[in-house]
Amino acid sequence: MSTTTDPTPPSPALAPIDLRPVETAPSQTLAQGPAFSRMVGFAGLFALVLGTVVIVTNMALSPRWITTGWGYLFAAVGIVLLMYHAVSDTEPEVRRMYGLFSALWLVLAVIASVAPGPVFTSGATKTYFFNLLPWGVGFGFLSLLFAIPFARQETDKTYRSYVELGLLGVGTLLAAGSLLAGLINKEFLVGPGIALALLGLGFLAAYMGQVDTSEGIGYQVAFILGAVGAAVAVYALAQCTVPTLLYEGPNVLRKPNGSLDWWKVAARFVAVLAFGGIAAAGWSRKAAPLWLRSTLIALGLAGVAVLLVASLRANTITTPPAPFLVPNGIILMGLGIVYLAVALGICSDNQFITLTRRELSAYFLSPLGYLVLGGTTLMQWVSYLQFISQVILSGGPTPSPITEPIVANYFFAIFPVFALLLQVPVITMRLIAEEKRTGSMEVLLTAPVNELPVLMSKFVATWIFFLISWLPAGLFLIALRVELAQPFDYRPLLSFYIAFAAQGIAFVAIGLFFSCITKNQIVAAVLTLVPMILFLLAYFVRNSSSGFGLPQYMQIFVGRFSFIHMWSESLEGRLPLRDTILFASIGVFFLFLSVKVLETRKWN
Amino acid sequence: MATPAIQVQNLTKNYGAVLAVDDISFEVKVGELVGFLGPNGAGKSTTMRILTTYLPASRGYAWVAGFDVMYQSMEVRQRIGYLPESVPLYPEMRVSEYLSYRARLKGVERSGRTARLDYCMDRCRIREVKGRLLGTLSKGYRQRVGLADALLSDPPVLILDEPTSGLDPIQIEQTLGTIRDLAGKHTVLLSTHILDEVEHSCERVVIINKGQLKFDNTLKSISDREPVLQVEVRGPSADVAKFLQEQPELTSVESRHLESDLTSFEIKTKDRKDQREMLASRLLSKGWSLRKLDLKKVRLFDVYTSVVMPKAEPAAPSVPAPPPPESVPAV
Repeated sequence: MSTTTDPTPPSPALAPIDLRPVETAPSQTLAQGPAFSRMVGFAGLFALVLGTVVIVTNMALSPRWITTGWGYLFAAVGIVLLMYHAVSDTEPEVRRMYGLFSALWLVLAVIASVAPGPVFTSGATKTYFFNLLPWGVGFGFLSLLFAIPFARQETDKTYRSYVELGLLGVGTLLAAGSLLAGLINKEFLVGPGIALALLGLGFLAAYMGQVDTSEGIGYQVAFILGAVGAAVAVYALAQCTVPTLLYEGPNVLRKPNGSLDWWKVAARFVAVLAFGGIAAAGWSRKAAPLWLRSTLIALGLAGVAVLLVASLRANTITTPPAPFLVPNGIILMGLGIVYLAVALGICSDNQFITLTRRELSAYFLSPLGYLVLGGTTLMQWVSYLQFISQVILSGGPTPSPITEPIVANYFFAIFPVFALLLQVPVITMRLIAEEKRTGSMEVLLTAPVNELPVLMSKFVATWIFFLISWLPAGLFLIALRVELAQPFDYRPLLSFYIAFAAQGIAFVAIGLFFSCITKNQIVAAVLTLVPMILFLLAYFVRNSSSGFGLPQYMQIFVGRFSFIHMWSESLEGRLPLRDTILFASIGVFFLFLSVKVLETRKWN
Repeated sequence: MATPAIQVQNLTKNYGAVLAVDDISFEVKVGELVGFLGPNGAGKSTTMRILTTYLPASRGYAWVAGFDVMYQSMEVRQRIGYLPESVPLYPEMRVSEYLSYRARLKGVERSGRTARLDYCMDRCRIREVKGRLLGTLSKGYRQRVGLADALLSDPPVLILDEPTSGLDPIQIEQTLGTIRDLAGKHTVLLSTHILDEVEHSCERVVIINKGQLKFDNTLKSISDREPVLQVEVRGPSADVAKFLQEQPELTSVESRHLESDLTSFEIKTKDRKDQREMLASRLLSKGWSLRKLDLKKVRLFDVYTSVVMPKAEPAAPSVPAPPPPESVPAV
């Protein structure tokens, strides 16, 4: 069935043309025939069933002709094809069938989580919640996946409200439940806790994607999500720092010989002033909403109180506080910050946050983000393979034990450096250059927004994307942990990521600066590549005995900029604070330059 | 007298050696709809960029809604809606996403934001493409999305740079209708080089050429100008001219020779009366025949051409060719 889009020809009579709107554009979009997507759906169903049968029989009985790996592959392909069908079929009945499918996965998830013990091994002790990870969370994720296209296209009001309520309910239950359980039971967080909290966030995000979040219940949900996230993060931070502060008491301010160390007293005084400043800021800004003001005042006063008590009264706590930061503290803080960030992105009206959200989404709305993510993941996988072969080799015919931390040489390979050198120009070259070329800079800067929020939003969005693209390196190590079935020290990874984040600040800021000074993206990319290569050369200068003929002090100076040395130092477990601050300040410097470059149009 | 919405005083802008805008001054009162006319490269876009605070002027002043564009740039930007000539949109975003992002950026109040977005989309008739990617829209739809974006924060001053370029005739009429409805509550400065649009919609017109302001007046003043009678008479040219000059109702007569016995006259009448019938009867009664009798009103096109294409310079008196050198007779 095709519709014509030609305008109706004027009548032969000489009546004046009626210029009331007769919309002849846009062109009708022809719905693709349902046959193709249904074939794809059936193929997907077949593959899923086949894969499930393979997996179940392999687990229940001895390994068969088709191994478990193939079963997973078939199941994964089947799910992808089913998703395609779910998204592209136009019949509402088929869509609702997928809604039921999603509900089925949810039920399976609950059963898998709650049902006792390893299912197929007879004789083992059955414990509840055994299969929560990975099956319960996995089925829950599949349920979310199939619920989204169903919710998007559902037009019937009652069904739609059911779906939205379902998403909201499940999300709230998972998020709140996992956070509470994590606070009560410390072991819960690492593993099931994170997975369930993130799954709950996924459901809530899906819910908020379907409703209007400017007003009404959508806004309230986002607000509560952000409040809960902030509360959890603050609680985790407090739990890490306050018991230690109170336990140490005023003695920490004294030198070993008993007299007051004035530097430490001054630092403590500055900290007290900082918290007092927060409280004063909350008090003085009359224009801010009440909840914000009261939170700032409460935080500031609490900080001042804790610091004063810790400085003046000894023996407030007599038992040494249990270590909280790693891993529970970091996980809670991370989760809280992620919740807060998602909530801010959805419901905040702050210009900077609006701009950052748009910039970050631009990476995922075009192929660029996926290509870069895929490329860096591939590179990290290759370097992981190299690392694994080292580990395997050391356990081979003549075992030579590797000293902890075994991750010391994780990033010490050509591929991550290569990927980094190429990735940074690619993701930063388009930032300002493209806007100048298409003219959208004009529209952006004639809105009531300053240059600083514009640049900071581009910087922060690109920095976040940069960090996300290097996350798989850490995730691969989780797979190693599961395969090895014995723990290894992963904590150097934390210092590595902090150092890496600081290097990211420098690299992204340099790329942003070079994108500001030219309209041509290729020129910006090439100009960014030059400092990156110079950073790489610093490693060779530091490592070489001859030092390329440079005098000694130059060798040391240039060697400070070597980011590869920073990697190996942090992966050995030491956070190189001086180098971290060096790279971060390089980044700040280039950000400052970028702002000034943009401002020159005002007086040029 | 109320503060004018736009006030430009001795504005000059040069890009290095190129003088784009040369000492222009004009005013736009609150609620007016002013057409900014000029050929390509005249300085229209540059003036608009200066007014929207995107570019600084080299000399001179400009105030929008009472605020100086150089020193109070933020206040100016909070009160304008700008549609640039190449409507730049982010091709990977959808219409509703883009407009909602722009609404947040411009600080549209949260509580009525969705209603305001719906209203702007209805006004610019882009409701039906709400979910489409901006990169897949045709030029007409892109212009309308840009216009909706300019309207979002309900700004008192709208600055539109060629809002109907690239649209088909019906869309032009509809867009101009939308703009006409906006005038009165908003002040609109729209630039174009299609005279038809200006004649149908605007009250005042400002013509700029090569960076200089050439004309700044209402359309009514143009149509109020004295119309001219054009007559073509077949008869002995000197006699006809003398006869016409004797007529008491006519104030000035200019003649132009067309053919051997055909002369064309441009006549202005006393008190601007329409003397066509009287003239026709008198000329015919003298036995001459009348080929053309027309009352020509001054149109915007005439003003525009007279401003943009100055009359050809009178040919310089040709220097007589030097006499050939006299040949010196050989002695």
